[in-house]
Amino acid sequence: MNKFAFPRLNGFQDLENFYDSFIPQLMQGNVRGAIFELSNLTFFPPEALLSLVYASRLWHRMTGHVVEWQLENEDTLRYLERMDVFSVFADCVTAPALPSDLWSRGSSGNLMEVRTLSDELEQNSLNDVPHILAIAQDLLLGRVTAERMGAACTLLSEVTQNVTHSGSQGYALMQLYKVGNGRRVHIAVGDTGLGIPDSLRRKYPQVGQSSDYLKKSLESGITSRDIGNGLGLYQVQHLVRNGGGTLTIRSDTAMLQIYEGKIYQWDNLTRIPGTQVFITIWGRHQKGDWDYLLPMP
Amino acid sequence: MIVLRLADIAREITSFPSLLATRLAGKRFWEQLQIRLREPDMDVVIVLSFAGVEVMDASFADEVFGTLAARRARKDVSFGAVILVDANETCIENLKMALETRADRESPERERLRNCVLPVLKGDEMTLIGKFEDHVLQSFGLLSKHKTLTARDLADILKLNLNAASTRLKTLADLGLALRTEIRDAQGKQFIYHTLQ
Repeated sequence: MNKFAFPRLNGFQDLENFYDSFIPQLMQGNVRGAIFELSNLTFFPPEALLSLVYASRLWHRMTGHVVEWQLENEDTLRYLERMDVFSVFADCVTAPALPSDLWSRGSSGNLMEVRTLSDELEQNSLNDVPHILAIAQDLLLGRVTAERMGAACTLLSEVTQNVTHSGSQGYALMQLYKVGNGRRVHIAVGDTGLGIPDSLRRKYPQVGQSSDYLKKSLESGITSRDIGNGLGLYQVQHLVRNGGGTLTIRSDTAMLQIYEGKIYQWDNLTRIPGTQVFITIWGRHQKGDWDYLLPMP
Repeated sequence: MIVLRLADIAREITSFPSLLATRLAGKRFWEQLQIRLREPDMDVVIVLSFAGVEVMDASFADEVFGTLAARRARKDVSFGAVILVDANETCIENLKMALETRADRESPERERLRNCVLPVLKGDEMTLIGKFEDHVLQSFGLLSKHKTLTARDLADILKLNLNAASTRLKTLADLGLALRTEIRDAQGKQFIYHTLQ
């Protein structure tokens, strides 16, 4: 078994450290199962959840084996159950059974469980995205202002539509954290298909490094399609900036981050398939809960 | 004046008519809307009500209203004037983004849009949303103030020559921001321009 230990999950750098060991083992064509040792964790950030289900899906797709998530903390187990991880990823994740007295689905109004997103245009646009928005709307109503509810749904909609560019199924989740008098909204969307740099390179061959393509994807009018409009991610970055939020896009060997209004680009990271988009908006973004920026070189 | 509720039209393409989202849904919606906008009487103003719409994302806004405004600006369509009402902040924000950036997102081979604009009614006040030339805003403001204008009136107010004033008012009508009626009197044929309300 290939064991990957997670002594902590406190920021994007921890996820990068994981990819540094996980992806090379995956690429070796290892036909064994894998273990994610998560016993030490008492807090499971939504950003980490998306990344670990993404990694489990990849492992299963490439090796045919499941990933065993070793967990001891009952709160963590309850959280994963609430997020529907063991149902949506039943084919690729195993975990200890949650004691029935801790089973708490439906008890928390602060999160939207992991939802799958088809890459097929009609299914994605006319079914998956509207369903997700309806759930998000229910979750946000009464917890944030109508204006913020609309902005959060716009963010979710624009990012989840983009899964159709990847050629692979995607996943989305959303969570609210109470901070002071308000709430911070976290949105995470990922897929294991064609990443942003590869999808744009054909149409825009001279842009530069992978992170330059991520930056390019945020410009108005940039799309991988021959006929398209390229408005979605432009509006996403606009809303994030206006809401004092953060945006992290991880794709291929690159990461782009918008944090405190500034853009940060990272290249030469471990190559990962597909794209992961993480948004947090409103409320304080305390350092220590989750470290957004990768350490400066 | 004909009032169309967007949520009613959306019911034909989605089970979530309060959530107008995605580019494909926008395309389907536009097909439906076009049928309803083909009113034979060009002087009839069509009011599009957002009542019951809680979210309209930018992609949907672009596919429906960006297309409407761009095609009207290029004189590709011959619909009567349209007014948007009852739109919440989210819908306005995404509509604004779609219309303001439309010209930059179109193929450079197309003739560049100078105006991509729609009128929005909020309370008693009619405002323009999108991208528009300064003279469009100025003429629209004067027409709103005076309710009706002829080219001669505008020429006198702005100290323009008659041709320039006439072109300005015709541009307003072409963009769906004014109604135009023709009268014939002792001085010959002339047009009177009216506000949409």
